[in-house]
Amino acid sequence: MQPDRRKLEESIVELIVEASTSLPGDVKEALERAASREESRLAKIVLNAYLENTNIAKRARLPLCQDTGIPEFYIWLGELFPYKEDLVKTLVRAVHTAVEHGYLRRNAYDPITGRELELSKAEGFPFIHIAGLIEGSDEALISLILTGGGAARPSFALTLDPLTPLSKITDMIEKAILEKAFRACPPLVIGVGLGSTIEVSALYSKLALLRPLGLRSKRREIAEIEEALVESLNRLGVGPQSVGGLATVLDVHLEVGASHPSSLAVAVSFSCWALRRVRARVSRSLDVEVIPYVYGRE
Amino acid sequence: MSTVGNKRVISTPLSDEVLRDLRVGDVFYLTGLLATARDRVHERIVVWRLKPPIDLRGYAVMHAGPIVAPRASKLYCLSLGSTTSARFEKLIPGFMEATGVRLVIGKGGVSRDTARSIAKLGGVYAVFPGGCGALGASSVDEVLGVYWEDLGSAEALWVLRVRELGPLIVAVDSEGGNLVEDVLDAARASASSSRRVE
Repeated sequence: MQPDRRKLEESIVELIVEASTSLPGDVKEALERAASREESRLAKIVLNAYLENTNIAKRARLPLCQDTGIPEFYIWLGELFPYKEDLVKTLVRAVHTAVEHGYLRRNAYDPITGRELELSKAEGFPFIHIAGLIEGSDEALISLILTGGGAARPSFALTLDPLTPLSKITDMIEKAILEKAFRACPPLVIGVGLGSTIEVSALYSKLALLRPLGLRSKRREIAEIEEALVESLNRLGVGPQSVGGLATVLDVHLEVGASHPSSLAVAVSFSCWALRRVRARVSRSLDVEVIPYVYGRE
Repeated sequence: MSTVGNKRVISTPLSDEVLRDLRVGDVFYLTGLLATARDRVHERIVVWRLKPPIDLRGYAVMHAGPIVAPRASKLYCLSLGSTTSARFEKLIPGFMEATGVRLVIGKGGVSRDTARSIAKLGGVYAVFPGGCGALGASSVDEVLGVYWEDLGSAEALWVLRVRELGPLIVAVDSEGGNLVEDVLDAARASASSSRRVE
């Protein structure tokens, strides 16, 4: 059977529109919970504006935010999925189509000249990463996250001595919020990745943002660190849009890869409140179905 | 100024008196003429000293790069959200002097220095919650024009007629009050005191 590439491209464009216009259920629930707990008048007004915006965007199929971000795809390929190359090429084409139809903003610039790039020359737009293979499966799983520039800006990665206490990482996140990330539209969602090199930790920090809000790490000691981080960051009182309030972060997730005996890398990826992500399964007949995300490739 | 339902609505042309009445923490909605200006428009007017393409006195200006698309021979605003003002905040006072604009809408707040300069000019800086492009677009009645389109669609200067755009939260008032910096000072103090306890 020949794959219907056109149908696949249409489905992926649809997936992009879904990500840009519809806030995931877990994020919306977290905002609603934050709004019901909030005591400050201004913080409540901001959170209610977010929720109203969310409803209008979904109803009218308008982008939640004018910055539709960098489309980043994380893919888990079934070993037996027959159209691996087609899939990757189609993701790129679908992003170009979405830009041409105005569903995504032209967000690709040449870092040397500062000029807008032609899409065909825009390396890394979209960013596509094969996150893993799935044994015995004939399907592919795709996670798409739209990373806004305002939230990308305060994100960081660096390496530390392995003896560095974890409390130092808490201090670094706190400092990043108070110096820059307070402008990245709080309440923030924070993905923290640990590993051996900056690229390993950066990857895990992004995977951490894919995990549903409120779902804790399966490792108890990591779950406890996550809880402690949420609690201490929300004691800062920065609040929604930094007008003061209880909700500075919606959640913090920590994902870890192996570190090296001489290098502990830490990456912190911030997301604004509008954490736009969607997960889908692509069957071997190239049907695309939106599915909930749990852990990694599960 | 008027009250619609329980909303405090301010209309253009904006008078100095109306702006002087606004205090940090006040919430209002804007009806009337709004121009968008972000990094490049500020650069042209303040750094390159180009003459603004239209007379903006009495307008509100918003730090925004809207998404505008033609539908059935008319222009529609599909997204109007605030962008981070701090990126080009040093140019804000010069922009206000060159254009006569006294109400600036953005997000993320501005430094104490910039706030003092805005106050000296009798201006007000208000936050439109970030990430609310659909909410902003829903209050655009009409796209009236676009200038300096060579900067690209997001960077161009758009002129829009809006109805009850908001909520707008006063973050810098004409007395020099600064909401976001006050919140951050308190957060910094609480962060360092909790570290001392540990």
